[in-house]
Amino acid sequence: MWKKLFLILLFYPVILFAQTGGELSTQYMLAQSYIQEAQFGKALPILQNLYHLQPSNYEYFQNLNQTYIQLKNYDASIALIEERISGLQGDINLVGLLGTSYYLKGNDKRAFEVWDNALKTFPKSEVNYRIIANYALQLRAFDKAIEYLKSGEAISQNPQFFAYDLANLYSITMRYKEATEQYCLILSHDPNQLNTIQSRILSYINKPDALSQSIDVVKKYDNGDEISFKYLLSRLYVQAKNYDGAYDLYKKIDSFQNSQGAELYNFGKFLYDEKIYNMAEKVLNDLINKYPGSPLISYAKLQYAKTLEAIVEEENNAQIPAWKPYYLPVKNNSSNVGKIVEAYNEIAKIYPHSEAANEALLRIGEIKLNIYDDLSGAKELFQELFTDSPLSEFTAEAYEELGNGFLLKGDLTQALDCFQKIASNGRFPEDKRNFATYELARINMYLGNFPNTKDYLQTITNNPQNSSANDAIELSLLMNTAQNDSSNLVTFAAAEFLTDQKKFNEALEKYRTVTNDPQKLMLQNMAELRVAEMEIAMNNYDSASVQLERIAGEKEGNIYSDKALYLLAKIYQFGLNNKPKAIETYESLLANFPNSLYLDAARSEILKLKDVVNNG
Amino acid sequence: MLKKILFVFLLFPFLAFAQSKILIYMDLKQTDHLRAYGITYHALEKNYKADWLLNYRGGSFMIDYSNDIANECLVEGVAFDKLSASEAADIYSLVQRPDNNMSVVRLEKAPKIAVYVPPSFQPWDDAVTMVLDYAKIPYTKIWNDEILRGDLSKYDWLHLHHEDFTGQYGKFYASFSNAQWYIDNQIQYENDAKKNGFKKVSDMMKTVAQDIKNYVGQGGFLFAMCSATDTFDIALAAEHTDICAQMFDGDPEDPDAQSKLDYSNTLAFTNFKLEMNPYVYSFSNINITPEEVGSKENDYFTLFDFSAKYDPVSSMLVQDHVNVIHGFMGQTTMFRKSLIKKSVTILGERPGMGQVKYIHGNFGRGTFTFYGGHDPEAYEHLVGDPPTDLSLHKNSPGYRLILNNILFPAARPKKQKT
Repeated sequence: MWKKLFLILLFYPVILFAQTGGELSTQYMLAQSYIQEAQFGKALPILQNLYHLQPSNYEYFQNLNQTYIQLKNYDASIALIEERISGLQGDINLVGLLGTSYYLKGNDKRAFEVWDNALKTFPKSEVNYRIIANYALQLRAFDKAIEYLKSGEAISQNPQFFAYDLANLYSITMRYKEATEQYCLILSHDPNQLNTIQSRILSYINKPDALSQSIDVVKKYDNGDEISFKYLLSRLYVQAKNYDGAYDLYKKIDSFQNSQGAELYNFGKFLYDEKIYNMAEKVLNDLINKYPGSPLISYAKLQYAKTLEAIVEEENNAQIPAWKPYYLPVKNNSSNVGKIVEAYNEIAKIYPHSEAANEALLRIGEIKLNIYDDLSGAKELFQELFTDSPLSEFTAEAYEELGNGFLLKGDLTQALDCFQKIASNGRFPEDKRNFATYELARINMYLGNFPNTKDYLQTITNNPQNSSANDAIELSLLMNTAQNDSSNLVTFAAAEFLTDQKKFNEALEKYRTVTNDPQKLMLQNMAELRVAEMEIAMNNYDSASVQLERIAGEKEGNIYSDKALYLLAKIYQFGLNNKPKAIETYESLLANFPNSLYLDAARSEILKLKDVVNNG
Repeated sequence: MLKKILFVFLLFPFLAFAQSKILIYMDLKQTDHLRAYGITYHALEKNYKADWLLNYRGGSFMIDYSNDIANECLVEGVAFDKLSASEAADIYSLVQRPDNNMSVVRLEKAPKIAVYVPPSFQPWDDAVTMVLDYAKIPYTKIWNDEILRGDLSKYDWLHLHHEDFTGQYGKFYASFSNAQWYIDNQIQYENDAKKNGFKKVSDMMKTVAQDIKNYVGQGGFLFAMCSATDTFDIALAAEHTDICAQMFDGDPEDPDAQSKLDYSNTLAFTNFKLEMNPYVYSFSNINITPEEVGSKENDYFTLFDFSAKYDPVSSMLVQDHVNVIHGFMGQTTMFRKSLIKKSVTILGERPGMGQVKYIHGNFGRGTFTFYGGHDPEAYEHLVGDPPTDLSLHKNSPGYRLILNNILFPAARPKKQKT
């Protein structure tokens, strides 16, 4: 009996607390379930009871406090935390929570006072500042968070420890100068962070004033041999379109790194891709001159040639009167042309029989044809391509260029041969073969072989997906409607051939012959329009205008009447620079030809012209 | 004989100043329905007389002839007919006949338009600004500062697009809280609230919503689309409670927020249930969910046919060249019919499904129109999607409904017959 009593007395506390512990755990789970269901009112009494039973349990405290906050009972939360603080001195997190409750209650002043006082009385520790800053940050009290982080930074042995947080806070509060300062601080301690820092800074530089402020800061840091600041600054200069400034930095980087032009090449390529051709040309030219032995020299030369070509193309495009249906070729006398040929020649020699060399040969041939008017020189060059690389993608293009060259010179036999070579080679791209077939149809028309012309055209029109189908349909229409008027068709074909050779004056006479025929068939309509187009090509705008007004006046009697009015408006707009008259003519097109294909283009030109007239 | 005299007398106001007219027909033959509204708006700006012929050839416009207007039609690609005075009179007499469901509404003046958009607004964020730009109708962008300082009284018409009036930043938190645009947006709102003396964004938005409601009460015309419709009413209902979770306004929502909603404060909706979960991309059960909408192929809504002579306001708002229109999604796509107040007129719905697309109602001396969905020509317009090119949708019936609302404040309908 005594033994039994002794055993019960011995295990009594264990049994008692085991039961209580299990019950508490169940109650706590129930309270959490209520919290998860957002039934805070039901969770509250359970948590109050639990906390009363075990005030030292931090989970009970934390959940009870959170429940008070969810129920917006901030006074209870404050009392709870203050009670706990009184028993647990030195817990900075409790001070953080207390400030939070005051802040949520709407008493910002008291919240900041609580935090400030704690940071004064607690041991000076950067961790404490960071903890309180985080509480402020959670409440989106950004300025206060910055203040605490700055204070922490001031006493820290490692100021960069705070820099990411500060930079982030500065950027979201739109203090870009300070944000960049912090990022530079990080970079000065750890250059490996360049990519991260650069992407962070680039994320805000499109905000007002952010770019200029950032540049000023990075410039201040770029005062030594540290490459990362030069990279960063050059990137910002490019964003600010200060390409000269960026180039100066790249030169320094290249020199410091002993990169033998690799950095300059990357910069030049970047500029080319961004279509900043003039600066790219300068960079690549300097590279080629300064580092002739660079391992990248061949790439640099190819890039340089392409850049020069892009510059010449831009110049050409600016000079071409693209609004005219026909115009004389523009001769480009740029000194760049010689440099392009030189660069491509070098590539062709260094990498013979490669696709790069094939492209180089094609480009030189094109220059010989289009700029130097040297057909035989181009033919000789292309022959190398035809013999050595018959299946190259550039070979078909070379045949096409040569065929066009022969057409321009009036050599139909040679032109026919070139286009046949393309059309009959199944390995050439389909669009090239289709275009060549269309050209064969036209050459046969010039030769008077109308049945052959029709056969070629039919081959194309059988496939509506064919890229030359529209042109072929228009020519077929002409051939079919004019087949009973073969003498005029022959004259018209001769005129077209002369037009191809840019012999506009001679072509004009032949077109006029066709128009003299009183029959108003499509052939005559087309010839009348061509007469005006030839006059435009030769800058005879007055006579072109008279002709176009007459055609437009025929309205339904001439299938090109709307096109004539559209061309007339173009003469006023570009040839005679008479904007009001151009607007009037476009408007006349809209009023008189409501189903014209040129309506959208006319509307667009009217709006552009009105904009210019109204805004000077 | 007497009938004839009476008829001539009825038409007298139109015949007295008889002159040749421009008829901008709005049926399927119209080449650019959207720009037709711009032409009419510009004619009003230039003080030309313009009439809206309700239900005549898709709701056509009859404007005094001038070379100026005719040229504008030509340049903008808007089809029209030039009518002699007698041809115009024939049309007026046809429209006025009692046995036709047609009517004439005189358009008085070009309304002054304000569009409520944040400073960070991208033009393609909003169908209304896109169509106003396309139709070349001028408008002023306003934001909270202007509303809070009382500038709304300067405008006849106010448009709200998908702004969130509840202060929950569109409830994009779960998907986009780390996205730069979301962070910037929240900062911008917070700065705005601070500047205007509000501690919380949600408090500022409630005041803005109340100011807009007052503007309507004093005679303003309100047009809202997408989530500006339901969030506007939710903000009004939640005037005396906090429905925003901690991540939106720093403190928890009121646990009893649902029971504290005051539905008498709202314009259009009642008895709705809030979606309090901050991670769910929805504000309440007002919106019809994508699952309820079903397949895109079957998503069409029908416009109601109103009596043009007896109910010209509703008739104006549903003028269109078709009366079955392809639906389109938005954060708020359509409204649950059972939650719409009885006083509100339903203009367009999916019949038999309890899903309403387009509603109209009166409050005080003004009116409001709510149109569900984001972009009538982009079925699912997602964040970051490219803008819709309206030149490819010149005849969009969905966009026409927006433009009906633009001209509606210009109208002076005749008094209803009793």
